[in-house]
Amino acid sequence: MPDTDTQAPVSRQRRPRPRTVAIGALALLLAAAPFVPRGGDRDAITPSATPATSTTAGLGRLTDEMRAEIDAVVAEGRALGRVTGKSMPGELARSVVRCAVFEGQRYCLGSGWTSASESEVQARMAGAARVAARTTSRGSAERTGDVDAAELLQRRAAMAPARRARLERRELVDAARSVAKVWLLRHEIQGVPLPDGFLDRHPEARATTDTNTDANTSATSSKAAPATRAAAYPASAAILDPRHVAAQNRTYWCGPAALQMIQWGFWKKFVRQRKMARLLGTTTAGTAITDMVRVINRRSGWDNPEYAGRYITLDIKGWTFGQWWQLIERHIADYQAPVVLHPHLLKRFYPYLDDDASGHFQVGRGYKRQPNGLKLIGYFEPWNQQRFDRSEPFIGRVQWRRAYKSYRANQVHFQHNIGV
Amino acid sequence: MRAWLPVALVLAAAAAGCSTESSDPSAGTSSSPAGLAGTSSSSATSTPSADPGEGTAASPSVATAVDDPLDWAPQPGADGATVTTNGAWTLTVPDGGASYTLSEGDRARPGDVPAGRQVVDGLLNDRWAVVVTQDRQEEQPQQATAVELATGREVVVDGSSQPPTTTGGTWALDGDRLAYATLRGRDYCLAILDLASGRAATGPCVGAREGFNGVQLSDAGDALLRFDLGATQRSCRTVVAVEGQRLAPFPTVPAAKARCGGAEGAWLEGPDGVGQIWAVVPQERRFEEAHFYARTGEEYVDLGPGDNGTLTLCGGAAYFARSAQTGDGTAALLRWDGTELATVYESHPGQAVIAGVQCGGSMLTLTSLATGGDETVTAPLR
Repeated sequence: MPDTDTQAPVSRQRRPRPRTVAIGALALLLAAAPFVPRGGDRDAITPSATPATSTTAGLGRLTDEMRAEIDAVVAEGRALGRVTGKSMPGELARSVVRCAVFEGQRYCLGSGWTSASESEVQARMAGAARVAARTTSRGSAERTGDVDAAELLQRRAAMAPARRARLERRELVDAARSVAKVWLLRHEIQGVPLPDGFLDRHPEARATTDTNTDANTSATSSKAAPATRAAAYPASAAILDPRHVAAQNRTYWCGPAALQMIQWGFWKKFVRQRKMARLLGTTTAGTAITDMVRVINRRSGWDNPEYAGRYITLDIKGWTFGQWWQLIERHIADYQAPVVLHPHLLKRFYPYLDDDASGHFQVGRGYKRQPNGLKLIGYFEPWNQQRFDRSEPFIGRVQWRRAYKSYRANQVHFQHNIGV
Repeated sequence: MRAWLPVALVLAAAAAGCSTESSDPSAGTSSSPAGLAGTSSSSATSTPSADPGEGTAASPSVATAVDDPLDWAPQPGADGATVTTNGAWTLTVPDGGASYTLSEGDRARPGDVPAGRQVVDGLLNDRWAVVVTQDRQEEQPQQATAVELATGREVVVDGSSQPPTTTGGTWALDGDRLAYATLRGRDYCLAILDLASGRAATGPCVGAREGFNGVQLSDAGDALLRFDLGATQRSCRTVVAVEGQRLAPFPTVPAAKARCGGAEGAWLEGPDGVGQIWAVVPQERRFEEAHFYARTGEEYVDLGPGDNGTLTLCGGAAYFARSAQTGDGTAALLRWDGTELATVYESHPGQAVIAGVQCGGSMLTLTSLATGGDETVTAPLR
């Protein structure tokens, strides 16, 4: 069946963007801009990046200061020795959810980049773990494959100290080398000024005009930050081939199924969910979002600078809907790369569900600003509830819906973060 | 008012949307003829509702909602929970369904959720409160506990009942009648239990390769959504009437192909006689968006766009939600009583949606989410 809801599938090497299409789209947008209602988007911040910065950043350099910070955070964990999984959630959270600060941005293990303090993140995780432990012991709620807070803490606590230190170091090194992207997003979407000397320290965040640079060797990005939002993003965009979709094979494999579709979209090759599950470290308790981000960075090319640059796990708790929407637009229209959506599957946000369920992963791959101001998000949904329940009808993997519902479902998740 | 052009357009669109998956997700959110006709979906008007004397199946008249807001008041205790109240009694189920509370005034009675189970349904009317639980892996039959509000008497329905419950499945409550799914061999069947007398019967069944949900009970008749199992691309969904041991497709779906795009439906007894209300999904890739129609006698009415999964029978009328149709519009709750379409609630403005409508017999409770503000409110029916 023909499907024209997407652009042609992206290839391994980035396609040169047809200038004529861009000029035409820009002209249309400029003509239509005065008539486009902004609605609930009044709080959106217009990007104000200087022309010298890119919209994203590749792999940065690990500085001595970063190394020292990583050493300190890892050493703090090693000093704890074995952490018993029987500890109270608060104690567990203080033990395994530690944070590092890189160039003024805070990264918390297992949670991602956040504006919250370390103690706030620990408290949030402990609170969520208490709820999860209580409900898990009672057997609720239905789980589709996103690991809950209690399991996140237990999983790390159960590791031998040396292994935990090794994995923490790997996670922190990945984070530290991605800090430029965090700064760029905070600057362009949240309006945070860039620190002095940012581009000197982060050539990977400097815009270039060479769009054909080899993604694997370039230290610079190919995209300049947009001068204004209206000029930057078309009214709608979609990526990924809607034929390259699959339902999750197991109730707890939303992560592997989402990653399968993400990989399929990049490599144009079918890969098995089983392999994805192995790469992600998925257990019957599910998958962690930091593992989704890790594997995308290491096993796909979506993290190349001419796509999204380094994927990061980003806490969007304090983000307005306008800011969240701008992030989605940027990812789809500008990066042309998929988003790891991380909602809480509650019936009130997803009326096609039969029951409330757990956290979940979906693949964000399109958006549309309608002329009447409505905002829609397009996504691949791995969860086919009919596979596990004959009281529910089949629902297609390719879906479009009110973006505001997805934003609220993301906000209500105990981690309220997203993979971008 | 005969608006043949918009009606023809929407029927064509509905048929096209159901015959092939729409390839254009960028098409307008509303597939509404009302929208094409200029009727506001998010802000009610005071213009007359549809004249039921003109619409036909091929060309239903287009209803325009009149403004008739109920007396809404904030509903406490609804943060992160589903609340249903009939005024005297309130049933609260927190997100995730790990527990529930049934309270009468200030007296709260925490419910006992068996270990390993979650609350998947909470139903309340003026006589009964029913709490349905399911094990997390959905391997065991569901269990429902019905509490007679006047006496406190409990009726338990589970896998050992006759007919027994099964895993998953839909539940509905109307007066003393409780509907649920049961198995007869490999067939999947509707069971109706009279909670007052204890008499139960197995109703119509669908085959081993079919399922159903969305049961709607009313004095005028019962209805449900029947669909295929095992589809990999799409399953045919049909709104059907329960006629004894038979399931008969709603005769009122306008196009044959649209039957496979069925969403939900119900019987209704209005001032002008028995009628039906039903919804179809015009675009499979926008499964949450439906289009509502109604029939009273031989007259057909196009009720416009609405949200799939929100059709609620309450106090003899049908209600459905309509998310904001513009970026700065309001979400609405609409009432169809068989003759008139009315807007009974409007949310705060801005990307607004209604997240759940609960009938408590004589009261409605709903939650709306919007960039302009959230609220959970309750109103008595008129």
